[in-house]
Amino acid sequence: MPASFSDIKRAAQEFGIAAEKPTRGSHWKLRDVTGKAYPLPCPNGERSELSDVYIKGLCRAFGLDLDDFKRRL
Amino acid sequence: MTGVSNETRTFSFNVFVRRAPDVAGQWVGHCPEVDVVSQGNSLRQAYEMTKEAVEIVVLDDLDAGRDPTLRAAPKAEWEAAFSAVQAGNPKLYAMRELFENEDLVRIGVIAPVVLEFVRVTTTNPGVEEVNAGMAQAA
Repeated sequence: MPASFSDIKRAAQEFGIAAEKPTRGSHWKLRDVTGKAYPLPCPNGERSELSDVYIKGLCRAFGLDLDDFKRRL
Repeated sequence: MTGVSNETRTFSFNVFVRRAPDVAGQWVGHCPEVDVVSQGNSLRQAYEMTKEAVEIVVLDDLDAGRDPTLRAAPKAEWEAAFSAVQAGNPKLYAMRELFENEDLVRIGVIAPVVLEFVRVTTTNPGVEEVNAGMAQAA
């Protein structure tokens, strides 16, 4: 199930993951408390609809439970 | 007297780009070596976006003293991507050709990404190292 850029950013923040605005390019940067970063793409600005393929990658990167993350979207 | 030294790091990765299975008109790209996914409105944009996403994590990890290759995707993710392409009787194309005719892509595209980073260090005897940031070179 895809989700909007805004919902993904908000759900990530509920897990303590901060969202940093892009300094260049088309990706925000998500960062967890350990400092590990993962890019959040916005190919169509903040209206972007992002694939489940991306959401799974995000959860793998931060070790988040996929079902738990999706419940917050 | 001030000294300047450069340390170059080169990374060769693969990017697997395919149509998003769940968002109409979108393409997704995945780099399994650092397990980064991005997305775009076309094959070209998804490839460029994935390359940019890989640059972001590699640069961030190098600056923080982390090894970006430790992010590698689980083996199952690699196998899913590569076996899907292999099963489709793959052909070799120039990326430009595929960018101009996305209909040539039936399953997905595996394309190389080469990134080069240079660490510029400026030292001054008697003074602490003053610049150790990683900068993208190419």
